[in-house]
Amino acid sequence: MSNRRTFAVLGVSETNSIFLAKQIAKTNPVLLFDHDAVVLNTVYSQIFSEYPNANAEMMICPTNASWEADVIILSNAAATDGNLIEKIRNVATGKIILFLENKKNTINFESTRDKLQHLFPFSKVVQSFESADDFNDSLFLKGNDKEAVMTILTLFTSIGLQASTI
Amino acid sequence: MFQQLFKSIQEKVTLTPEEMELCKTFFIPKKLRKKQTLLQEGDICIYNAFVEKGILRSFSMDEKGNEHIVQFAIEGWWITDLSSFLTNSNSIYTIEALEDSQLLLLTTEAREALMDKIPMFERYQRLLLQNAYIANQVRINSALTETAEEKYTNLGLAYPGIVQRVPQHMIASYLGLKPETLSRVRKQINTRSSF
Repeated sequence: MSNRRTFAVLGVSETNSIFLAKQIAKTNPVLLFDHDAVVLNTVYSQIFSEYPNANAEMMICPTNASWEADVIILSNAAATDGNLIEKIRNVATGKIILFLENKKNTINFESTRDKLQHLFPFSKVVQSFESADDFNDSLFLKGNDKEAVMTILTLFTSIGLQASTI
Repeated sequence: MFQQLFKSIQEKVTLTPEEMELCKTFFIPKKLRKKQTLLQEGDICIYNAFVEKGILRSFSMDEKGNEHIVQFAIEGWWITDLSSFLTNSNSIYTIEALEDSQLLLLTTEAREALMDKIPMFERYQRLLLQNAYIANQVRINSALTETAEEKYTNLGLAYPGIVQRVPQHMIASYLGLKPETLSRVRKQINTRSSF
């Protein structure tokens, strides 16, 4: 099938989601969404100033972004936004949902992933969390679907991140 | 999101409301923009796609870069490279959206699981394959025996929605005609009907 997966990045106000959006947009279509239009515009402009050939687009609706995407990336803020989750639930079936845990403001790794898997029972939830202060340093991936975890591991490795599964 | 799918299923078999709800959990909802591809020649076809909205085409390309359209799929139809989908082989086709489209995708694993859980879905799939086989036979016969005018006229009668929505050069490709031949045929038909 078309190997050019489309990624939706929901919530682009956090360092790790911005980093991923920039890196993925170099090779794959990326659909960006954030409730804050100023933040969204800024990140969008940053991507193109750093990578003029990037394939990124601003979306005004998380539902359409997720519907079009093959992989949905949720920032910490997006993963805890009940309204946003409700808007994307029906179009996330069968898709990989990558949840970017930020250890600095997380409450509980396990409970967030369990909650997300419960909210998306027919999606493949993968959790990424940092092992050090720097997102680029080393990351761990965890999820119930091995194939989905491996897909994200391959993605992370291809964009230069050090990641491993647990 | 599942209107056309359930319409298609209920035309052939009956599902209970519970089975319909269960059915929904196996399909991947996917939007494609015009000109985006679902399958690229050389890749393995991992989805059988049901068209909820829009129109797609599947085509192969020869050494000279000429496209040969083998199938169109409008609302309520399925599209895939069955050989690649069922045997995990590399596809010789590309599947592309001709309009912004909404699809429901079924993987091989999901299809098997769905047929296992809902026996009526297996019957539905069998009837689809049966109809597809008949349609292929009709198409082969048309290609071997009909004149260019008959091919075009019969396509318009059988699938008016396709002829109206698809560019004429693609219709020509589907019928195995040169665009100028189709143009001449259409002119002849129009001249006759104006008398």
